[in-house]
This record gives sequence, C-alpha cells and structure tokens, in this order.
Amino acid sequence: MDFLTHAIDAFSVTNLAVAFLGLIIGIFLGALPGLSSTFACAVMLPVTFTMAPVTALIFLGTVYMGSTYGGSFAAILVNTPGTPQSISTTFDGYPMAQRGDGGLALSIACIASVAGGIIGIVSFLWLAPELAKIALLFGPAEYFWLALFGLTIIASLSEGNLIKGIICGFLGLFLSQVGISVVSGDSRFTYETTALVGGIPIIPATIGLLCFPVVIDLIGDAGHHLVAPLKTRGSEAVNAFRKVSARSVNLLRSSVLGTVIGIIPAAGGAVASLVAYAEASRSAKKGENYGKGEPGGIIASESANNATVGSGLIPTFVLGIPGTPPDAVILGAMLVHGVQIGPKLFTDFGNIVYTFVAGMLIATVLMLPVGLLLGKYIYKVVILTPKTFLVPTVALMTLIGAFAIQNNYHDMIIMLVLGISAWILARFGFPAAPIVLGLLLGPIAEQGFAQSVMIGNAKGDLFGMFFGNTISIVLVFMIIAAVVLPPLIRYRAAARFKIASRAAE
Amino acid sequence: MTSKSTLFANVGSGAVMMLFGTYVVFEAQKFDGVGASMPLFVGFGLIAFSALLIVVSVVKASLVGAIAPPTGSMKPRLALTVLMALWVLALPYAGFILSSIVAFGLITAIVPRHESWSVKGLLSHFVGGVAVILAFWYVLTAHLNVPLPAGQLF
Repeated sequence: MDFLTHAIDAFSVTNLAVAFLGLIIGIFLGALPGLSSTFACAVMLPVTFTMAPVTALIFLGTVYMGSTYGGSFAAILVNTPGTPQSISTTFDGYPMAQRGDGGLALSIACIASVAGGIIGIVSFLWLAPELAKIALLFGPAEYFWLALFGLTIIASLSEGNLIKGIICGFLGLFLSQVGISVVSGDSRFTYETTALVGGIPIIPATIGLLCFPVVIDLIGDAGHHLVAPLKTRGSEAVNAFRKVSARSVNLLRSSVLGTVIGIIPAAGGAVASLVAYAEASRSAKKGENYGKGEPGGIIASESANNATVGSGLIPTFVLGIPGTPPDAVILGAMLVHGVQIGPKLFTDFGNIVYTFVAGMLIATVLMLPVGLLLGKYIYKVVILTPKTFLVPTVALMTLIGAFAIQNNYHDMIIMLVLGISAWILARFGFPAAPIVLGLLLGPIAEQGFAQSVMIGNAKGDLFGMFFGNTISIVLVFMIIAAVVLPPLIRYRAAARFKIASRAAE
Repeated sequence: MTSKSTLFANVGSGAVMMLFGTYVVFEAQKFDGVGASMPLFVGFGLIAFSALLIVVSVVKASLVGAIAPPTGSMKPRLALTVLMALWVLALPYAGFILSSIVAFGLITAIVPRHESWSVKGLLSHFVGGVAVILAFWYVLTAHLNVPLPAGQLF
C-alpha cells in the first residue's frame, strides 16, 4: 500500500522535530485571542521556504492543528475564544473553569481534539484518492467550472455577507490578472512598473491580506491581551480519559459531523463545532446540563473543529479549492514548493502526500502528551507575552516573510499596500480571505476558459464545450449548491443552537 | 454603526467598487482578445455585484448585515501604518538591523498600555527586541541565504 510505503519517511528526525515545533507554535498562537489559525499558518509560511516540501507541509499542518486546539485555552480559562472554532468551547469550558475544573476541561479538550483530528485525517486518506479518480476526467472546461465553483464558495467564506464576499473574490481575480498574461502575453495592469511585471506574488499578498490587518487590530487596545487564568486542579488526565470514554458516542458523532462539514468548502471549523455542540446538546441524557459546565460540550466542540483540519484538506489537495482560509495558506505553500495540486497529486506526488498524511497522524497523536503535559506551560508563556512585545515582533515577521520568498524589496511594499487595503476593506465589511482565494484561483480559471474557448471555436461548438458533459453540469449544480448550502448550514446551526439553549434554560 | 451610517458605508463602498469595475473594463479594451476576456469578466462581475450590493443595501439592508466599527483607538493604528511604511522605506538606506531596531522600539512605544513604563520594563523590551531582530538576521543570512537589506548609509 502506497500509504505504508511512504509513511515510514514521516518518522525522520527532521519531520518529527518539525511536527513537535509546529504543535508548540500553533498552540501558542492559537491561544492568543485575536490570532486565528489562518494568521498562525500565514505568519509561519516564510519559515517553510527552505524546508523540503513534505516537511514544510507537516509544519504548516501541525501549526494549523495546534492553533485549532490552542484556541481552547483562552476559551476555557478566560471565556475568550482564541480562534473562531473555539466559540462553542466557551459554553461549557468556562463554567467548568469557574468551578475549579479548568485543568480537567483542558485535558478533555486535548483528548477530544486528538480523537477528532485522527478521524479527520483518516477520512482524508480514505476519501481523497477516490475523489482524485473522478478529477482525472477533468478537461479545460471542467477546470474553468471548478475555478468558478471555488469563486462561489469563497463568497461563502465571508462571514455573513455573500455579496461582499463575491466582490472580494473578483478583487482577488483582478490581482491575479496583474503582470504578463500567460494566455496572451499582454502586460496587464503593470503601470509600466517592473515590480508588477511578474504579477502579484502569492506569499507576500497572503501575508499582507491575512496577517497585517490583524497586527493593525491588535494595536488598537491597551494592555495585556489576557489575564491570569482561573485556578485549576492540574491536568487531571486520567479523569479526563474517563469522562471522554463515557461520552464516546458524542465524540464519534461530533468527529464525523466535523469531518463531513470540513469537506464542504467554506463551512469550516467554527460551523462544525457549533453544529456538533447543538447536536450533542439536543441529544443530551438526563443529568447532562449543557451550557453549565458539561464535559460533553467541550468534547463535541473540540473534536468537531479538529476533524475539519484533515477533511478540509480533501478539496484543497484534490481540486485545488481550499476548504478554509488556513487551507488556502497551505495551498499557497504547496505552490511555492512546486507541488502540483490536482487529481494527479496522488500519483505524481504520492510520496509527499502520503508522508504528509502520516506526519499529520503522528503529530495528532503527539498532541496528546504535548497538550496534557506542556499545555499549561505554553499558556503561561502566552500570558507573560505582553502586547508591547508581540505587536512589533509580528510586524517584523510580516516584513521578513514578504521579503524572504524572492529576496525582493518590492514584495514588502506589495505586502504593506495590500495589508492596509485589506484593513480598510474589512472596516466596510469586505473580508480578506476571498481575495486570497481569488488570487490563487485566477490563473486556473483563466487558462481553463481560454483553452475551452479555443477548442470550442475550433470544433464549432462553444456551448457544447462548456455544457456538453456530465461533469460540467454537475459542477454547475455544485456552484449553485456552494452558494446556497453554507448559509443554510449556518442558519440551521444557529436555529438548533437556539433551541438547545432554550431547552437548557 | 447606526443603520444610516451602515447604509452610507455600504452604498459608498459599492459605488467605489463599481467605479473600479468600470476602470477594469475600460483597461481591458487595451488587451488582446483572449487576454482581455478574464479582465472583462472581472470588471463586469465587479460592476454587477457592486450594483447588487447598493440595491440590496437600500431595499433590504438586513441581508447585507451591519458593519461593526473597530474597537479601540485609531491613533496607534494610524501610527503603526505610518511607521511600517517608513520602516520599509528606510530599509535600503539604513539596513535591516538598524532600521528594525528603531522601528521595533517605536512600535513598542505606540502600543497602548494601562500602566506607565518602568526602567526594567523598557530595558527588557529593548534587549528582547534586539535579540529577536539579531536572531532573525543571523538565521536568515547565515543559514537560509536570505540577503536582508544591508543599507547604503552605514
């Protein structure tokens, strides 16, 4: 089996060390309120430039996973979700911390995160090659529709505003048009500046659009970002294992829910954890008081959001359509490292993919001792890091990250301009994530469209070229579903949560 | 934000996007047939969805959603943006180490704090900042072959 052949490579000292480091950094960044998993991955992206492709992916994957779990620290101990995925962790985590069970809550969150993470990654291993077989049938028209599908789902990534999300997708597409056109050779939107001839570089743009606005926001408030946590009674790992195993159905159900929701592009960890929490709350047994410190609430939320890490990579790796903003950053890293996304990924780059998956599995298992034993120490470092030190350090990292990819001074200017623009746009409710995804998908859409037009014209059947086969038709329907489904899921999750909250009252 | 200012912000931003879309369409005329197709698609897309944003904002504002004003002060944000721009501009002249130490110190100074600075706090921040900058410089130049700007003046 391919997986087992390549899995051995994941056990190299370098990969294990990088996985360990990625987890620590991820937990640290995720625990800082205001710094999301997307930020964590984007700011760590430059660190991967000199790594081997598979090592780089393992590092980013573990940063993503660690930050998703790290969000639970602040959520449980100070009622402030470190990441959006941890919002529902606060519902029961903080009440547990208030009664002195913060350590137990953190241990439960760790165990649930590990279980959810493993199920998500196994689902990737199981489902992604099957999806790749279908994707092998794609021609240029199908790739065009696929990119359009991506454009429609990026709109759904915008929190609550579809129209603004679509506009931002178009802005991203515009950015992808800058430079020498690959289809016609035209110099487009370069304004006779040599800095723009090569186009907008993906990494500086990603750092600018996703990280720099966070830095601007961080500096707006005074003082430390976190206060000292409530007192806990240690990690209570054994007790936590008992609590989780007594709620194994909840754990499994929430992990599967997280896996399924993670595969739907744009739905993401925040939606998954809310849906899983609502479902756990709805099926609560007698005596389980959700919202008042019930361990099942933490299990549902944390297992579901960590399950999306692995399953969200399925559309990213196979179709080149990132499931979540952190997946977009990982996609950017793959492009930088020359890993060609798409259906042939499992045959042409099988060694990288399978070693990466094995590395992620190892890292997930590693999260158990790291979270249970080192978690509280990492959190202490988080508390001791003042904003006065954090802000200039992150600002420095954004500049270095933008520069280091091509050793190009102009990339820092591009990063800065896009970062400031993204912050201003965000003030008007325009999200940055769709711009990044538009930038990534632009070349796929343009090449697919241009080739389809040329082939269609040569055949004398342009309409048939775009709508003449089943895959194209399915993709068109998927585009419609991508617009309709995520808001519907969010609406249902909110409705279920409302009902569950009323029942708990 | 009040509903009136949200409406103003949505309609205003929609109008700006529409203008930008028009500019993209106008510019696309200069390109070759195949090379113009995508910019045209982008331009018309921007115009169409910006128009939709304006219409929806006026007709059913709840569908567009409220715009949350930024929390905290604008002054440090503006100062940070200006400092970052100056930092980038200074890099080719002052070099990475000097410009970064100065910028690090200035950014540290503009981060709002509840308590006043103590000598110990200032010193620890300065030492920590210099250590971070030197660590990055050493790792990038000595191990990763990244030629950070050396500067012309020093």
